[in-house]
Amino acid sequence: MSEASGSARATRPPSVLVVLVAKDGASWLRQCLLALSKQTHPRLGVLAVDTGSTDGSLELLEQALGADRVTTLDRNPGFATAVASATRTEAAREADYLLLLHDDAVLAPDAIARMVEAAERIEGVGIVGPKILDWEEPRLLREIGMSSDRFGYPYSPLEEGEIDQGQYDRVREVLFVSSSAMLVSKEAWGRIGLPDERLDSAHEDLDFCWRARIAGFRVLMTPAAEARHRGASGRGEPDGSRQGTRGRYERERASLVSILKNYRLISLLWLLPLHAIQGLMRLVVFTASRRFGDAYQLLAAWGWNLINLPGTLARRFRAQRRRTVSDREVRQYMAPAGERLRRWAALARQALIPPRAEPELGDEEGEVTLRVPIRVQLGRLALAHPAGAVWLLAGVLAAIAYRNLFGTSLLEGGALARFPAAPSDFFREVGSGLRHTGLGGTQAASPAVGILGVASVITFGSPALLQKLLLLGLPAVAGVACYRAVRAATNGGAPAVVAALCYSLSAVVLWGVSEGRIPALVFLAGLPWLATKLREAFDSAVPTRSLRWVVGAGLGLAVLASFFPGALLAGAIIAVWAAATAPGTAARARGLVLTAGALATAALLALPVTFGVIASAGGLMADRVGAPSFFSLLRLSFGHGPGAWVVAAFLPLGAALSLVFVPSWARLAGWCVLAAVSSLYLAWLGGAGYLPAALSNPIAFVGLAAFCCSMLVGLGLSSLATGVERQAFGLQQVGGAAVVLVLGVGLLAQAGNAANAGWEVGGAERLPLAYPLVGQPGAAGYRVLWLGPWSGGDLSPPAGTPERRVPAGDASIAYAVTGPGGGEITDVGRASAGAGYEALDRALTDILAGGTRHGGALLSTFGIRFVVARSGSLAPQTVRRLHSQLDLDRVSGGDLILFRNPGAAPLASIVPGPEWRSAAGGSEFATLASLPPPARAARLPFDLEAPLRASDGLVFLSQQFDGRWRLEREGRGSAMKPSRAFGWAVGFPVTEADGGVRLRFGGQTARDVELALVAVLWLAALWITRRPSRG
Amino acid sequence: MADPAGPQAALEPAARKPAPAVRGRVVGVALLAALLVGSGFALQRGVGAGPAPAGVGDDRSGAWFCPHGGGEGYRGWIAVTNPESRPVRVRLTTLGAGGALERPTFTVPAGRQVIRSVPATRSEASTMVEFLGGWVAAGSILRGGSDPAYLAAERCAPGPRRTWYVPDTTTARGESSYLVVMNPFAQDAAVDVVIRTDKRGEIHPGALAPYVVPAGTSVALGLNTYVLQAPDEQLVSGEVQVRLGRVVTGGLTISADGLRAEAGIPSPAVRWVLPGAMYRTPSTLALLNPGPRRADVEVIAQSASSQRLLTGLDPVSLGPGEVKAFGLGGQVDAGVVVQSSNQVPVMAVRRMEGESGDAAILGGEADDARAWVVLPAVPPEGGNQLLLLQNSGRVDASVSLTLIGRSGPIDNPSTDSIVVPSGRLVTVDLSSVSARSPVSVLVTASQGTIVAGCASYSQDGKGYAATLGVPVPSGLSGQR
Repeated sequence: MSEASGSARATRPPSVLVVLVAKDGASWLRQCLLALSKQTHPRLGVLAVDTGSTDGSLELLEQALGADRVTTLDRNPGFATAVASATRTEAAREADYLLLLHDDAVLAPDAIARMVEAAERIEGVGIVGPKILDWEEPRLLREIGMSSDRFGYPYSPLEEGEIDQGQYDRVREVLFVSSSAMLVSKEAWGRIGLPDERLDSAHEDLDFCWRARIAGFRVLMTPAAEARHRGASGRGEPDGSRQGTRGRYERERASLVSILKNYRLISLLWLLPLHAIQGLMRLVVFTASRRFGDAYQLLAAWGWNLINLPGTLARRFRAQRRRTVSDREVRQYMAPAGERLRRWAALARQALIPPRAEPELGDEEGEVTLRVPIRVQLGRLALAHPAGAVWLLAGVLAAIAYRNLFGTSLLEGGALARFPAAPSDFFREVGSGLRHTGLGGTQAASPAVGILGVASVITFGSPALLQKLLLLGLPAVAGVACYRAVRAATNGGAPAVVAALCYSLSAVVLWGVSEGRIPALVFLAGLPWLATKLREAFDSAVPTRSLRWVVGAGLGLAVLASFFPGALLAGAIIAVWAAATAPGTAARARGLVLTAGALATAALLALPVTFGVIASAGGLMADRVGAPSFFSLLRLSFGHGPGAWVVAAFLPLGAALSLVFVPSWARLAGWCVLAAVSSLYLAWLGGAGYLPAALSNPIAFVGLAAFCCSMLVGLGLSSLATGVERQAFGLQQVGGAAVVLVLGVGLLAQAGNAANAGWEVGGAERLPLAYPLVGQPGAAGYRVLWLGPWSGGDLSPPAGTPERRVPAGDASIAYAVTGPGGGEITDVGRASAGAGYEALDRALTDILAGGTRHGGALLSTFGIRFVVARSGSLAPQTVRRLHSQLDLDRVSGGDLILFRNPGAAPLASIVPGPEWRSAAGGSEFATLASLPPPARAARLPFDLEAPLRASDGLVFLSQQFDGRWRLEREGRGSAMKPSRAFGWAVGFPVTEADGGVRLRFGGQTARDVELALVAVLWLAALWITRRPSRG
Repeated sequence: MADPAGPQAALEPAARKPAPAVRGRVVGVALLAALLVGSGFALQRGVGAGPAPAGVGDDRSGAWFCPHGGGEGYRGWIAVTNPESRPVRVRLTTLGAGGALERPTFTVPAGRQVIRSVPATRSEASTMVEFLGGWVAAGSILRGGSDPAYLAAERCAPGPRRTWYVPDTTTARGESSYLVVMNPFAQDAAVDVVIRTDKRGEIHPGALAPYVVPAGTSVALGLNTYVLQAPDEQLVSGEVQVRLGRVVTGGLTISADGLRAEAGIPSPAVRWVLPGAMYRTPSTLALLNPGPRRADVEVIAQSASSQRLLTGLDPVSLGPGEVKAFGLGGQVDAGVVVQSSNQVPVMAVRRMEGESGDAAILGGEADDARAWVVLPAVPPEGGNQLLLLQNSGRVDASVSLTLIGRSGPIDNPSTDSIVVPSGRLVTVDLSSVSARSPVSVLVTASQGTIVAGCASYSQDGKGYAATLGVPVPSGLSGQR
């Protein structure tokens, strides 16, 4: 405060002009005016600004204050502009203080006096605010001064619903106070100007106070002054207010404006990029969680700031000119950086964990507070927050179990599919009309590849990081999904937590991690949701909006099937037993109709996968993991990996014991039993080879059995937990102890086994020592044929999973064809089907069973340069047959059985001479077996810039045939159509007269159209199932 | 919320609740678990995993490897016989030290024999015969360049092996012996060569340990360079151990008195059958024990009328790594059975001389078979051919013969059914039937098993050659 004003203060109190801004507040304005009339401050004037009220507020103001004290604006220009119009009056110029007041704020009689007192007593005060209480419930605190984080997002130290017990009753220096009741000294508004008129009435206060701060003024909250604030605009009052729907927009643009104007340049240099990153992350989260309204508001806020940047810079210039304190001094009034993390965690908890039913009031009444030991407090805390406690333990367990994986730059081993080097590779595969994996062709990539592409952008453009996050994080996601499903069924936190632990530590989930089977883990993580969702359709008690339900279920099913087509089999079992246990015919019919709708929706959304399932006659849904014994299936295990030991039987055993206590054999329990038991039988039958290929997917079946067992555990524990203490000691207590014992020992042992970290995946040491002989991820231009046992099981890393099987008696095999880098994740959800695979099946049958010794020639057209198997994985007869091939050279490969095919054709080449040209017209065995190696073949890239000179011979593409390939010839005008080479590939017979030749694929437009159609369908589905904005 | 009825009321439902309800559930769950485990046990043990179906591919291809060698002025032929009812495409790849010389492709019609001339003017000459879309038998015939033109013939080897033995070569004055090592594959091979004589131990020539045989080539390793046979030595044997890659090995011995080609033997056996006929007595048996244990060997002669144990009561004893020559005495037109009485596997080859002194080497056959294709051992201009059918088994064999010539099967009712008694050698003169033209014979036993071979004289009667037939693989499609 200046010396002059100090002397004036000695004689008479400072004058205060209340600037009351009203807009359609007739309902509460009377109370506001009444409160003003009762103020004890002796020198008080009131000037009202009506911003176009239509509800009689103007008349009320004129009646209370007189027409000369009411300024009328035709429309609502915003709070700041209204204040600005008031400050142009003579009364404002003469006032020592302005009190900015909303029409929905009611001041205590001495509020203004207390605020003025605080301003006068403390040196350097520019702005003072009162303690703000709830309008209806004055015991609740609404504001005691505000802060913000580094990015300008407001932060209140108050907890939701915090009761005023005097805990904040001291004058607090804060970053800002609300403009609902804000006392501003004349000196302050004279130096820093008025609130930014571009901002909304609820969001201009941060910027205004921040400016006061950097100009050297103090901002205080005095608890001696109290006000009640209705927060009408926040409630969407009065009708027609935009605040309710545009809250995030207003908040986002205000925060960005605030930091742009008030930080020093040096601070902005590091804060703006961080602001952009966190903004982008939130944008992704909003989009991924289908909160499109929030995403739009965020984008709109950025757009507004961009458009209004010149005005912002001009205001920044003025604000910085008056700066007297550094950012560091201002930052001490900001919230700590960890506060934002805490808020995100709270939001995540809300999103992940369904809210619990509130305990009835009075439960804890009369409780005597005793001093209890810390371990007891921790125990109580854990019991009160079982999910949080388990998260903590799971984090510790994960840190131990994954200790060898965290530091690995690139995960290898098991059946892990290779992730591409950059996100653009995902998008290129999705957008391309050509398949770049396997034997090529034109089968479109699964939508899962697009999802992975987007996800890899989010993970800082690092697919390797995404791979690690998925592999290590999906078991936790599976646990959360199981928790939600069980929690929804039982409304019991602790039983749901135990069920989630059982599922996450089940043998099948740990096996998925160990083997690096990310698609299977995606399925296992989504399975609890799928089961709950599909069962919902058959439950007449659950109200569902049909379209939204159908599209939502279809969308989820499409995502799961895109990663793991076997999810359809699991879905079928879920639906069949849900129909069987439905409460009535009507519910059954309704469920079947809804499920069919969901399936149809999923088929449309996962269109390439649907085509793949059809083209492979369902084979795409199969996944061979070996011929498990029934007893390993009873442990929900496939026989190898951490957690697959005999202790893994704890889950089925615990489920069986829990089943005893499920009341009245509830419908859900019945469904679980039927689904689990049938799944186990189907898993065995599929693994043992008694089911058609389309139905043979032990992972899908065992995964479902694991979830059903976990659900039974949850149901049983929930039943045991309610009322067991009220019953006389008997079977129930003994059984309960047995359940707890089995589950406790099982979970501990499984966790211990997982902590042993014996995963198949790991670093580069998981690759066979001889793998460099075969190729490297960057190598190209040839293919590798990976062989494995007929009964299934993994191929040698990095081949991935087997694609097809070749029956040849004792020499039967399963196989996969990949590039030199091994199996690729871009092939996920894509069928290994087509004429090329059938031709390869025939060639392999001839090699393994037919007695040919020209396997190299037969494999030549497929571009297969290496035939590889893990040592000891093949039947002796298979190895003998391979050894007997004249044109396959055995390479000493240590831990690999490795054959080199020196006659392998390049994947695209011009093969000179008549042999290949004439042979390409047929597919007879003798012709193929006598093919000479294409020794002088000239490689022909697809993306050839300059035409390659043709010689007499064959332009050969080792790609599954598609008639839309064209060969452009310099010597001829028209492009040549392809012919089917060797019965499956693409060939163009050429002569020297054709001159330079260039390849062109003419099917890209069709793929673009298909992609656009699928994209539109996905957008529509996402829009239909969008979630409401939380802004 | 406190229970309004008080604790006693809360206990009442439990007190009234019938315990059998829980017990019933326990029993139900136990039954379900028992059913699951029991049926699982039954499925696992009783049914088991389904077997993999057999493959349906019946396309056949393969190759014969003929490391026949050659010399200046020599001529060589490859005889290819197709006993099947469908034509078979054949590709010959002739190899020399510089790589593949030519790769003619032709088709052998069903039930025909084709004899193609191949280069044989250098000692390393060899030929790979690839057959595609069916099965054929192949053998090589070599005729010397001097006058009289001596003769050699051998059946071709079916494929590469890790070790090859050529037990009977000689490097005495006037004799030159070679190991012909062919590597028609795309990968260089490295081999170690071990030489033995019947008086000295193993010799490991430094220049041949290892010796690299480049991909797609054939080499002749002159044994005279490393070992000259002493006057008291009768045998020089070569062993080729493959370190890297794949090779096929044969032997060739050239002297002023004759020419003999010897197919390499890939592995020892406890029993060998070595038919023979039309030779000048005595013939010689070369025995080699490549293993680490002493082998006791019995030699049995089987003629048309009798069989006799030549080793008497005391078997021939071969120390580890020992090679030994065993004279077969005056046995005329007799086959030989060599068997190890202590089950230690050995090698056995038989050296026979024709009337004019031209020698022939016959490698033994370890296994009897029901069907054989016996290839001609005379050049295209013809000669005398004698079919040898030796039954070393315990039951009489009843065989039928199909003569296959250049133009197809040759009718001959007298060869429709022949009985070869147990322990006997039966010979069939083919010259009268084939008008001295080269002819192949498909020998099929409807009862019992035999070993079939052929002994031949050249047109002028100077050259003598003998070779074994080729067992016909079982399940051959459309076998005649």
